[in-house]
Amino acid sequence: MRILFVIQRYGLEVAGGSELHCRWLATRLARRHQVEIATTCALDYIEWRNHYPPGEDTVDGLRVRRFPVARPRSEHRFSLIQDLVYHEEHTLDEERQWVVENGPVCPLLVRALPGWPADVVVFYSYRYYQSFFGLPAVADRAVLVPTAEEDPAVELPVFAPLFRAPRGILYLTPEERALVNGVSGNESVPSVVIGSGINVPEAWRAADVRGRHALPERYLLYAGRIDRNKGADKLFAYYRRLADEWPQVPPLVLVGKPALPIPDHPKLRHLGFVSEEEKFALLAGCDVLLMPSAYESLSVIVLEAWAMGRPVLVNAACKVLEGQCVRSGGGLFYRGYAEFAEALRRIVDGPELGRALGAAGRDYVRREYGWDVVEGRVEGFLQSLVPRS
Amino acid sequence: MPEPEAPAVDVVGIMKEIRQSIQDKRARGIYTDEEVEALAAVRLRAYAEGARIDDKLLERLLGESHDWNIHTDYLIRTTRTGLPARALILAKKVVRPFVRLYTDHLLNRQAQINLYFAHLLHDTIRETARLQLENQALRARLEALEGGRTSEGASR
Repeated sequence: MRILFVIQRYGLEVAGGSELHCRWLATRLARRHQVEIATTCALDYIEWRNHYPPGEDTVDGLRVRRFPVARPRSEHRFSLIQDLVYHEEHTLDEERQWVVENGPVCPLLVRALPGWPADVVVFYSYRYYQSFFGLPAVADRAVLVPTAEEDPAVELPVFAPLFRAPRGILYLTPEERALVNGVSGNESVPSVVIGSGINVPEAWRAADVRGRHALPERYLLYAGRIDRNKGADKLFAYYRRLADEWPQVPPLVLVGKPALPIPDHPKLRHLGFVSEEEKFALLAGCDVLLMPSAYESLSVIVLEAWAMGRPVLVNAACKVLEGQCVRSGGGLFYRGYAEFAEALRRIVDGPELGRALGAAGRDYVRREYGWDVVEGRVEGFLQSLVPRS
Repeated sequence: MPEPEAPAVDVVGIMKEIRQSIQDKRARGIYTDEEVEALAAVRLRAYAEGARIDDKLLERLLGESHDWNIHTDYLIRTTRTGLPARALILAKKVVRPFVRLYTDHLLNRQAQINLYFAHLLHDTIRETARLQLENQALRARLEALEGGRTSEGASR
């Protein structure tokens, strides 16, 4: 099969969840198929400024073609139109304007798609320009990976036709499929829930994170963007309150780029960016991984914690996270501070429970999220869409 | 040797237990901040519905940040289409900076005052909700104590 992946940004330095998923999947499929990537020259997702040179590039041995972003995103214009379409009476044209302002505005990429020699064109992330305007141009061979979360954007009526247009859809979780079915009525579009494989670096055991960062024996972990959208502000509030009520609570170690100020608290430790090996070593050593985000379409970090046999405590406001915990038995899920505090105490005070949750999570990841399993699902699905020659 | 299968953990059952223990605390009058917040939100919604405020505006008014009206900037829009729409939008864009020169300062101040009142009212309602819950809990304890004294007196 000739498979073209179309995504908002692509490169080894790109850290977003959907971009990583795309890179991992493309690299795996390239072992047996002819895979190419069409993307923009952007690296950051706030302004989509051109970073990479336009034209041909090679990433992990794959052929990547980059197209320049016509204009960077204006946060001001975007927030004005978002305010309008999320909160006021508005028109479909204004929703289309929201998609344009969200970017990355890349008409050259969209124009290149119809003539591209590919059997299947896989579009990542419904909310971005390249999927919204590119997918309809090649709908008869398009497959969408929506990476939809339960935020107001997915309910905008302008996206319903997009969800009904492709030949097929690859969902990351059953909850995501239910969400998209619910907002667009696209049950008749063939689809499959694929999940994601997990890449555990072999050298993680050699990473001496405790020594390097002077970590205590026991700690809680948050890894990811330290952002209000990810629930980090609420996590800080909950943790500080819990530390007042329960002085023995283990310290909270934070890994990732901060997009909000981290409170000055003796039990909060921010390590900044760490290597993949260190991240997995930190996961393997933590009492529990905390995931306070209400908006997740999969949450790879939760799967990674399970791959390392560690339990998780997640925000039940996110149906995907709650669903994953229920299916796996690998973690607890809270609504509000009282449940957060009580669930965390049970995991930390009862090491047996923590071990049992972690073991159940690891078993689930092995069963459902092995790369061979995921790849098999994707390959079988794509082949079912391509007419045999 | 293959590793043994992980034991299944009934996380739904564990969360049910946790929620039950929180319910028991609530029955003893120990409420969390979220519960007080939820009761306050019900009241605020009831007041706003009584005043027949537009649904979308109400959602923003009840949002966590209450920042629904602090921006004086706005998008220029028109319901017309085609050339007249473009001409109208252009004209509005030309005129807007001159109008805003006089109105922005006043609007900013009014928006700040509105924001202050919104916070004041929300906090007041939250506080009355908390006091009401405390009052209920104290009454329940008083009744239990009185009931205990009565039965003690009867047994003597």
